[in-house]
Amino acid sequence: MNTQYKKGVLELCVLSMLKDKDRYGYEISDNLSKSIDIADGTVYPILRKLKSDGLVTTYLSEESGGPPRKYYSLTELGKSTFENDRAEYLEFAKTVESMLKEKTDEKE
Amino acid sequence: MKKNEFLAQLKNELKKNNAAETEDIILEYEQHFAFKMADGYSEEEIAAKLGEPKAIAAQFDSAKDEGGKAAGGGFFLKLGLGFAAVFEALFYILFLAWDIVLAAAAIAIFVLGGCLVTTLNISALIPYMPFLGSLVFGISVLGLAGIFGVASVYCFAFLRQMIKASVRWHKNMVSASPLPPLPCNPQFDPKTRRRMRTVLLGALAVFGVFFVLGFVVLALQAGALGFWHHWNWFV
Repeated sequence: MNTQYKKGVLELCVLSMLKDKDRYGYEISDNLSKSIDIADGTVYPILRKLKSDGLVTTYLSEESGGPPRKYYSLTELGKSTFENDRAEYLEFAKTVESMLKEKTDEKE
Repeated sequence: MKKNEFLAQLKNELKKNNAAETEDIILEYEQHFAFKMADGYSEEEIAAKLGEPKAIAAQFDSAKDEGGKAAGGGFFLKLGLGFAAVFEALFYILFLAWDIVLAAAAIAIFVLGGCLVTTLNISALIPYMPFLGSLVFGISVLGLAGIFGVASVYCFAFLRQMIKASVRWHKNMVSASPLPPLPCNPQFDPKTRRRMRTVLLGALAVFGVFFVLGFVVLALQAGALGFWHHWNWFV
């Protein structure tokens, strides 16, 4: 699949992962690369962009026996943006899906 | 590609792109390596899965150029900074002197403790003390030396970090593309910090316990609470 295309959706995926609980960078990167075929390195720039856009904040949390982990957490703005974008995307995806299906049906 | 090579390349590319908070970004990738390596992946595999450093660096926004904010500008700004630097330097010299005093005290106390423990009384500088009392008391003095030692190391790190932060601040004031400010307090890595805390608490405990113990032993040996009168220390 087109990488450029995927990247736009990835932001939404990251936000959805942070919706229920705060996670640290590696956790997000690991989870995403398990289900979507992307280079591991792409997630961190997205996190940073979300942070500079004010959708997430970070804090350090010291774990027992290890370096402090940087946790990402949704801001209020992040939460509302996620809800909006999510609804928009689902609507969009539904339309695209139905259009694509019609096309293949015609061919057959 | 090995971890260090990957990180060095990434850092280089980020600098080229004038990315903001380079150190912070590198730290994030370092942690990624750490987690993956703990899962048993080799450094080469991890680097390959991360992607090309150049491609990654390109995905980070470059720092906002604030149109040469005060760049080269402001004669008064520079004059002010110059004056500030002079006062800062005076403060740092004072702080350094304080730190040297601390370090010297730590060494002197350590030597005293050593002399007491080994009952090495160079030209009778130390007042008379029977062996057992001298040993116990000496150990407490060594603990005190430990406290002073940690304090002087901490103060020195503090001074270093303050100077670093201030240099960064001065540079940022006249630079068009400011770097993130540095913290003022000493930045020890967690391992060193834990070790220093352990040493400090240990030394404190040794000092406290053996000081009281030494007092008791000396009082018993002299048969008087004011044992210093018994051996005529201050005569």
